[in-house]
Amino acid sequence: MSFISFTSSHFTSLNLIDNHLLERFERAGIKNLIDLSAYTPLELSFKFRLPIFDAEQILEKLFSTLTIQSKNVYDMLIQTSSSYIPTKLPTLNRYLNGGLRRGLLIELCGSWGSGKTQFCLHLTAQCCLLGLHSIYIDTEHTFSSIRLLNMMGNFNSEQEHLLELVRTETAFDSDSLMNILIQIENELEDEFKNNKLDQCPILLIIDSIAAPLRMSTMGYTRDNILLLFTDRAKRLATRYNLLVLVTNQVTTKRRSNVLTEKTDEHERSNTNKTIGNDFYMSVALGKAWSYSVNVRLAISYQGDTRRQLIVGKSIESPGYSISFRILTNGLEEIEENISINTQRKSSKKYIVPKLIQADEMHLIGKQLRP
Amino acid sequence: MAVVRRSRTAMDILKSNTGCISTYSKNIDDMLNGGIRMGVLTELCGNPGSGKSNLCTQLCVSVQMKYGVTTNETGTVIYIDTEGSFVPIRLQNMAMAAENHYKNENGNLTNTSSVEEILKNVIYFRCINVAELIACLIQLKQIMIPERNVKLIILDSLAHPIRSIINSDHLTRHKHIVRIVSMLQKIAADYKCAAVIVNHMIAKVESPKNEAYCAPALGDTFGHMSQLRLQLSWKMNKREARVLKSPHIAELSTYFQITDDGIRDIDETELMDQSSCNSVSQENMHPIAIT
Repeated sequence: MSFISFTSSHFTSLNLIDNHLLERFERAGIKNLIDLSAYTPLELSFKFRLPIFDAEQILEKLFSTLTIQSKNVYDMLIQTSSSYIPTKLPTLNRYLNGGLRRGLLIELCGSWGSGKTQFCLHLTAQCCLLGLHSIYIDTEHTFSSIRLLNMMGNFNSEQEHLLELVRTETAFDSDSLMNILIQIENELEDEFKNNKLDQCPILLIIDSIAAPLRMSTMGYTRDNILLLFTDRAKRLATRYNLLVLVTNQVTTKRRSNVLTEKTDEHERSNTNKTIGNDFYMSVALGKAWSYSVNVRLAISYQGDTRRQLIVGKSIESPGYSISFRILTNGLEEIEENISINTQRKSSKKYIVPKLIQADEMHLIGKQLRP
Repeated sequence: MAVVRRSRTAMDILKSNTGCISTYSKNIDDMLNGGIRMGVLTELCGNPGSGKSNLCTQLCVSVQMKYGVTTNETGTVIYIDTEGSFVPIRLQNMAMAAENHYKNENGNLTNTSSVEEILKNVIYFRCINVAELIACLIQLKQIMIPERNVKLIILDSLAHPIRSIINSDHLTRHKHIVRIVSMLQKIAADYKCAAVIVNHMIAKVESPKNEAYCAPALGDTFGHMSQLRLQLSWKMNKREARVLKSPHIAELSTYFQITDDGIRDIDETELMDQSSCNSVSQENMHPIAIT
């Protein structure tokens, strides 16, 4: 803005002051606002033989094209804090510097029954409690409004109207999923143009991405579709500041003893040990998909209602794992290792982060008792 | 258009009792005879990392504690940022610490949500170059209405936009500096608010002895324009504030520290500065042998 020449059509079309005067400015070497900023009204009045009052007014008018937006610091803080959606697990919020950050593609994986849909529902509930819109794309037919209502608190009618903030869609295969995404993008573009920002959703959940791909596509076209999907999802995330949460399933991988040296005693209990080959449960959809996501969370099974949330890949923090429980009213974090150290004033628990390879995560599934 | 000027005697000026803004470090306040004065221009210079932006953020909090929380008026602060170095969370932390300190000292609260009030009274402008800066200063005249009660204007920093003017020579920079600083001085004097300008340091070489030393940027012209020139630096693992120029304060220096809560005094009995372990100590004069 400040480098635009005075004699360009931009300024002349604004018709703020006499265009002839602008040409005189240009001839004297004052080509744009930056050059003009060195001149006091007195200098201008001398140089161009103007009354000093006029010189002041001319300066004011020309500089008024550069209006600077002012905001107070309280609003600035609210703006930065609204770029996170806090989860109900305080330690996770702390490690991720506030919660799950908008504008990212976040993946949640876990074996069946581990609680991925519960996590998605709890995040939707948090979003409703903030009073903001969200979109839930259900591909496995596991969405339940009653469970969502449970997680939001009580059964009173006050919370029921919050359910209207959630828009649900169902998709059966990858084609319909992509069509829904295109439709959402078009609608968001319209809302953005009409500047209805408070109506815009902040959360987009796709539960799950693996189901339509595994049902309908063959292996070799799967990667292409995944790339298209990633492209679309990331564009939605960054342009419209959405949190895109995608759930993934698990698959069995074979670990050959030749390549990996790691010994994970903790996860070994679920592996089938055959001579020379270890089978372990890990994230589906392949290695390239691991690079596409921004954050990878995984849920591992620990007991009846106990789960462990592992942060596998994140810009904000290394690999932490947080224990939590799934209860009637939502997710609740399990406090463990409470140090009764009265000498220390600060109550920060220091948990050593584990080094986790995002594409080689070992997960534990539900074990059925015979 | 007749301009009426009333002359004041020296007694009037003595009695006019312009206030001071505390820096929350008693050493620095004592050195400055109260703190940063209202109605005049103060310059803060220092190398990167010496604590200039931190001190500016601390002043945002302390001026409000003096004028907003304790009395019924609001003390607004205008923060003009040209480098993008302002962090809102830092202001929030300092405000919370100041509020706690006030509560511990006095026991009662004047305002339960005073941290929120402190944050709302700091108006933030982001200017990228000189033209935007001048536009912002022109805009300020419309903001300085009496209800707002602006008590402090911070320009952090002036050196950055001036030094990034493309194709500039000494004369152009000089003209820009004079324009901006005289506008700011006029606003400060008319509305009786304090104005703080942050400056950088440059290395200068003194030719006969071939010694390199650090001097404030923006030239000698700017050196004459401020009433108080304060330099922040590191001396042997401790942060030091030094008065370089003032009409009525001796050229003293004192130590301080920056904690999570803001600017505080350093304990003189401790030899090590425990809050920030910066082992690089920068001294003002170091001879360079140029052969």
